[in-house]
Amino acid sequence: MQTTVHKKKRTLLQILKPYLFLLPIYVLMVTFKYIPFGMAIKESFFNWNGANVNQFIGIENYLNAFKDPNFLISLINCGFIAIADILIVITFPILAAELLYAVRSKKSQYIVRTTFTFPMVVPGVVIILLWKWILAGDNGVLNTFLSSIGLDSLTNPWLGNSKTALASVVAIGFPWLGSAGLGGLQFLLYYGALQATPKDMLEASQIDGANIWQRFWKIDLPMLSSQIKLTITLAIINAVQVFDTVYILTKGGPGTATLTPSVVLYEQGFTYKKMGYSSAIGVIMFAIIIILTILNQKFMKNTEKMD
Amino acid sequence: MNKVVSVASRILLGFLLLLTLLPFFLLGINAFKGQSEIIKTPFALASDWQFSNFSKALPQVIRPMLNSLLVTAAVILITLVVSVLASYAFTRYENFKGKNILFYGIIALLMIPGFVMLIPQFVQITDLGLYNSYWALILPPAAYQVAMGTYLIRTSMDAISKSLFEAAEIEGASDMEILVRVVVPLSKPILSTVTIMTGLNAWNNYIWPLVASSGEKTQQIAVALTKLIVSVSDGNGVLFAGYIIASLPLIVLFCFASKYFVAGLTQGAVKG
Repeated sequence: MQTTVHKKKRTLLQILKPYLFLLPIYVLMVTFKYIPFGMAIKESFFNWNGANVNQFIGIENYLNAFKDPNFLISLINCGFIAIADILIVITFPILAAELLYAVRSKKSQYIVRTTFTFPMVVPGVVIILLWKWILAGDNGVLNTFLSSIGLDSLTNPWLGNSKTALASVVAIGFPWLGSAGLGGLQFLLYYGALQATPKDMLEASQIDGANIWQRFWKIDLPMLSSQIKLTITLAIINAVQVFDTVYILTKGGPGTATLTPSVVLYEQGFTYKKMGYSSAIGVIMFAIIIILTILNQKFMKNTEKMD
Repeated sequence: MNKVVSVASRILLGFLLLLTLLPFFLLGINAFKGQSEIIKTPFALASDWQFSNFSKALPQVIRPMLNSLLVTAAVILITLVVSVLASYAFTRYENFKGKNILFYGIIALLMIPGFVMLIPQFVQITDLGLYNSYWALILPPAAYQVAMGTYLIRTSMDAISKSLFEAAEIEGASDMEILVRVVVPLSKPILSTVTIMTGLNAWNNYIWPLVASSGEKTQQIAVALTKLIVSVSDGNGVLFAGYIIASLPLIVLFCFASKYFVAGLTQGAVKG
């Protein structure tokens, strides 16, 4: 009798055990992520100020969003940033990875890669502030440089001029290899993928007399397709959410020249306390990211698996 | 022909490397200058070295750096412990009800952009009375990091031979003993990767500290750097000195563990 009770107890504990190990992660995630996520969706249908005003208004926040000129401009800016970022991540980091991969000595490869990686541990905010100084109108490094080579006519308050502000925001980090969020990560990914190219494929292409250009299109690019798909997806996700760069450099200005959805969300929520409206903008951003990610997954090829 | 291409490609690579490092070089040389020299000759070494820039910047960044260190260490610790426990459940127990759903429930979080939750999270920590506290800066970011942490650690743990678990069990080892003596030592590489990934994210976090804290008490370094105050006579040199001081801890760490940094930077993206 005693033994059966004992046995039953043990099996019950045995059954419960995996759930006990999962308890901490679910308590943490549900409390601080899934409940706020649910709240964001719910409150996007409410007129909410985060405190005493909380009134159901249906889809009015969403209707207002698509009538709000600032939000519409921010979507257009965000599209510009997304396209620019996609072009960036499929050019400079691939070029640098190919150039590095072509270096014969393994030791030089390692040294160069490490030198490229070193700026990636510098805090992103430092890199943004550094570029704020480089692009500054008065005494910015870029303007000083242009004047010193006799190109005074090109000097410009890059971030303060509404014609150049958005392009300048995208241009920071040029040549987009040194900072993790701005191309460095992509460079490391491509380089890693090139290193994994089977050696016999390269040898076969040499025997066939393929030139560098042919090798790039026929071997390297197919080898990189999974990474390219990933970096494009990341570029879209980052472009829709870009905040730090814009907020620190221009706060969305001058005027609405560099306004992005995340800056609109931040200002509507925290400056104007329109938290229901702000939540609706967040949900729209979420929907845009999900749709673009699915399209990207569907229409882009992965690297074909080798046997 | 091939020779020309190879030389040209090296020159181009060198040029890209120089351009990449140029801003950091400018930061380094200008941190030792007074304002007028920075304006007149930003590309030259200082003629009048202003070492006092660093002693002027230090008092402004030291407190936020210690705050960030505390928060970063706590986020790393929570992420590691919680992710290891969760990964162990998935690796050690072959079949339990809802195993797959519970796993997808964790990684689904990676699909949700942080901005959607920003406003409700702010209201939540305010309601909990945690605004401007360390817990507010630690718990929500940790709750996000555990998703990627569990994904990476589980993948690595699944590769541990099942016979090791059985052998340990026959010896009479408890779950905690198996975890500490077998699983954790064998998972060291992935744990270093997750540590670095989580640490970089926590140290560099800007938006959440901007929202969840104010004033000096818990101010984080990323926010503090954007709010450094310098007198007109001190100029940018003091700012630059502050940027350098704030970057040093990670650069020093990088010198000792560059291998893990590369893994930490790339793994999260690859698997996500």
